[in-house]
Amino acid sequence: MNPIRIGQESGRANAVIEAAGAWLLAALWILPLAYALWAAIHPSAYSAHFIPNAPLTVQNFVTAWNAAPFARYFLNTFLLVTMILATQLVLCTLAAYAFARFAFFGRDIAFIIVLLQLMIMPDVLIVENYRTMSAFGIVDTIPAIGLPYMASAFGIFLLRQTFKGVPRELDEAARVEGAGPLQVLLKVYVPLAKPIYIAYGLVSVSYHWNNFLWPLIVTNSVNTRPLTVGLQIFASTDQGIDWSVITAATLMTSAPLLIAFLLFQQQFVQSFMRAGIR
Amino acid sequence: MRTYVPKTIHLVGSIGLDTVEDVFRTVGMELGPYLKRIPDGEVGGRKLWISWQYPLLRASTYLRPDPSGKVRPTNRFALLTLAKGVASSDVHFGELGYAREARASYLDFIEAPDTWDELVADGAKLTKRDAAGNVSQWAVEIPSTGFPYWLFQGLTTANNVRLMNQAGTETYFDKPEVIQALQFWVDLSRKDKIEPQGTIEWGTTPKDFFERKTAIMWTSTGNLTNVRSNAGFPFGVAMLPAHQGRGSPTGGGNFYLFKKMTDEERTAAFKFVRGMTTPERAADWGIATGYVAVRPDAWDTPAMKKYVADFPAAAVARDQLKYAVAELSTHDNQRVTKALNDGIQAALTGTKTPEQAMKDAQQEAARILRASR
Amino acid sequence: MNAAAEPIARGLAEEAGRMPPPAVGPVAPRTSPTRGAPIGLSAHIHGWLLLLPAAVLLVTFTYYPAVATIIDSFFSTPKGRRNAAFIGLDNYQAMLDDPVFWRALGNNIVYAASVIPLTIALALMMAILINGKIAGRPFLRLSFFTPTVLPMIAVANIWLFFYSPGYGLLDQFLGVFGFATHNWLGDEHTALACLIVVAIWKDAGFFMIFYLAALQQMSPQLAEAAAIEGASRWYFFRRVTFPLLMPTTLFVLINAIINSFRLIDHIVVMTRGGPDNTTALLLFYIYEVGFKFWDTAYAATLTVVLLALLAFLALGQFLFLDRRIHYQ
Repeated sequence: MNPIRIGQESGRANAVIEAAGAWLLAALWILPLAYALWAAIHPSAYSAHFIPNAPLTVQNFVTAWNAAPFARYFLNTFLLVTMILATQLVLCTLAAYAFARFAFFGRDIAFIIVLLQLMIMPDVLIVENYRTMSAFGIVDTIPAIGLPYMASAFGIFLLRQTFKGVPRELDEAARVEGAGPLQVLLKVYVPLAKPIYIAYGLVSVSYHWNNFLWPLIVTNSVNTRPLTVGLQIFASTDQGIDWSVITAATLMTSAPLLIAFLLFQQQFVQSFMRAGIR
Repeated sequence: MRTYVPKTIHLVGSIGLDTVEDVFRTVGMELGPYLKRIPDGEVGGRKLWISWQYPLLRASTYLRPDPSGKVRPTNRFALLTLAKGVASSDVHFGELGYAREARASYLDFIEAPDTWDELVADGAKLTKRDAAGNVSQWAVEIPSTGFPYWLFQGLTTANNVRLMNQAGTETYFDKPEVIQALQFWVDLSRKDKIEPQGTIEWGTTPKDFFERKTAIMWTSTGNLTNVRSNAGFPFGVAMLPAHQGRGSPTGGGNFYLFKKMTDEERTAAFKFVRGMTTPERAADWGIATGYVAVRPDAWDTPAMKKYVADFPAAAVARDQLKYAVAELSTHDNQRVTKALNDGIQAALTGTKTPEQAMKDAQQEAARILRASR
Repeated sequence: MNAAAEPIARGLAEEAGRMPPPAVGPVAPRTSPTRGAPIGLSAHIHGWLLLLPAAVLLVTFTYYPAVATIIDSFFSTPKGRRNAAFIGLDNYQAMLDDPVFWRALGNNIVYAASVIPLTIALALMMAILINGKIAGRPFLRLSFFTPTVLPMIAVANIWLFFYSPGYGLLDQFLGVFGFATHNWLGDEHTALACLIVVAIWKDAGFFMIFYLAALQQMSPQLAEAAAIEGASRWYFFRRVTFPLLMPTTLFVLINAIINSFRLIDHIVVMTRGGPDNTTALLLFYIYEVGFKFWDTAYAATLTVVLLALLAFLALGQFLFLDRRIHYQ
């Protein structure tokens, strides 16, 4: 679908300038990343000098990989985002179903209160949440990183909106066949909300893969630390920064999301769009 | 057939290579211990012996091509004669670069400045500026992000003043000697202009050194192995310059054993600490990272002795230890050091005068320490 | 999770009966809320049971901490042998006397006021560019959106390299044009601006996607009608496109506001609040006070200020902007 251009009287010249401008902006935009890539694939001495035939090397990636337990960090991050997403899907589905289809006492007020969480993010309540985790004795565990995020107001809201749009007839039809409320949920509502689940899933994974401050505070050891914290500890400046190794480590830790994004660009973009406009 | 082994070699002609360093390296590698004498070289553009002189003469406003149009047969250069209205006593050529380059090359091999005054004096020579006045190499970088208080102690100890009392309950940031030390640091960038202005990032200082953006850098011994592996050029290590006295802060971290531990934990912790601080382990650590080894007998282990023999620079920090003082450490340490750090950074960026910055820092520190009693 | 204000605004409006619910999938006929669903006691019980797990977590990790933060701000910090003692407004007094707090607050406001409009404007511009008929749109979109999938920590490390005086890319680039090297992150005049640029770089692509979606939903008849009327592109943009994009703008605005208070990862990497607190933001100061100085009561006090600020901004948005939104 091509939107019609208005006022194309000044026509081609404008279009060319615009295209050039867009390309220039895009080139500038990707420049930092390209710079990081340059530094990562060339030896240290060439990291700041752009000599076209400088030798290529993968040594930086090898050094980075060996210098910190990145394999364990990858595992931790993977466990973390999976755990968070799984619980989010379950909890938010149940809550959204309740809000969408059950007229229970205090429902509307409860919903408004849930929406408050959008502004009172767990990220801001780091001091108190740390104290809570400490009291429960679960500081420095992977669940501790995930718990504040598992009940997501955003997820509840999205799913409620979606469930509300499901036609009542389907609900009634299932009920007529003797299904209890949970079965109706599983058989009718969940399948219909699949695109939303995917959209939400991508947004959630993306967010939690990249989250830094709370995991930094709540983890102390290699066994729980996710990639972002691991990268920061690795890159911290006490012994001087070797840009080639650090950019290699940086690219390495961003690689999964980056590659996933490159392969599934369309879906990624569609998901983010969907998550926003519904 | 007999091979002739020289006893000594004197070079009498110039070695025509691009830089002084190249000359010394090449000559040193080839002639090594036999070389006793080498003349001042002509390097870079002047390595073509007298051929380099012609463009200079040609460009001079006092000379012009000879009207006869004659050329030198060997190189077809046009003969020159005095320009119209110019007497031979008028002709002069300005700086040809011999003296400047000789001085600069000599600096490549000078000793590190040993006092504050020497630092400033040498700094003027070490700071290289290009034609537009932009600096291409600074004389010194003393990093000031992250934990500026630490290197600041290198300056205050050299000025014979302590920043805190032994018990860690009082600080002395506003003593005149402390303010003087800070003033000296600020002057390096603002008055003497041999250090970059503003705060200098700790993490990138070694890279600056490798890239020859700075001739001297102040840094942790922990960077020694890093510099040795990555500098790519010969470098030296020296003690921090002295003033009223000499000194540096110690660094490193401590092992703490808590009172509230189970017996199991206590035994395990003690075992760990003991293992980490054996002479062999301390030597190991020092060699691998460059950090100065934490116990004197570590320096007597065979590994360490060999390391120091190969790399004498490693012993400098050890020898400096006799002038060292404890790192700044008080009650509510993080807050107090932040007050001092902020003050140092404010002075370096020019937001406050050193006096004002230290007075404010002292006030803040006193307030914090009062509250923690 | 990031907020979704436009859907919220719509949702709330719907609840108030001001407008029909948006069409989602097959159109649902208007029915009473409880037709076909359990009513009476079992509805209440089932409803609450379904809500319970989420509610428990929300209360434990959002509402209780928020309330506890407010309460803690009236007590002193427990230290070793001393327990927390009620000290009334002393913490607030100390906060008002604390120059670093005012610095952090001021910085945060400047930071937010710079990042938010610039990011949104850029995002809008990018979306319009990509929506047009320019060659190589997938590359453009890739280039703009990639910073979004990177962790801010990674972004900050790359930009730290970028900003290095002398051999960093920025100085090398400017050096070509004859500018002197500059200590970007170590100069109190440029440090905050540098962080602002990083934040914009990270988020503009993210917001661009939402604008793209909205632009693609715009009916082409509008453009046709305007062309027939002879409207200029700027006029069309100002009078038609931008107002119609208001819901997206509101959504993006909330996201941007939240991010400008929530995202401090780049400070941790690049400047650690320096030089001399010129890049300290509120949440960073809270982190320092709470987890470096372990002064938890004072950190709670600062958090109360941050919460109040966020609440104020949220309220402001709903009340003020909600009135100006056009719904198609």
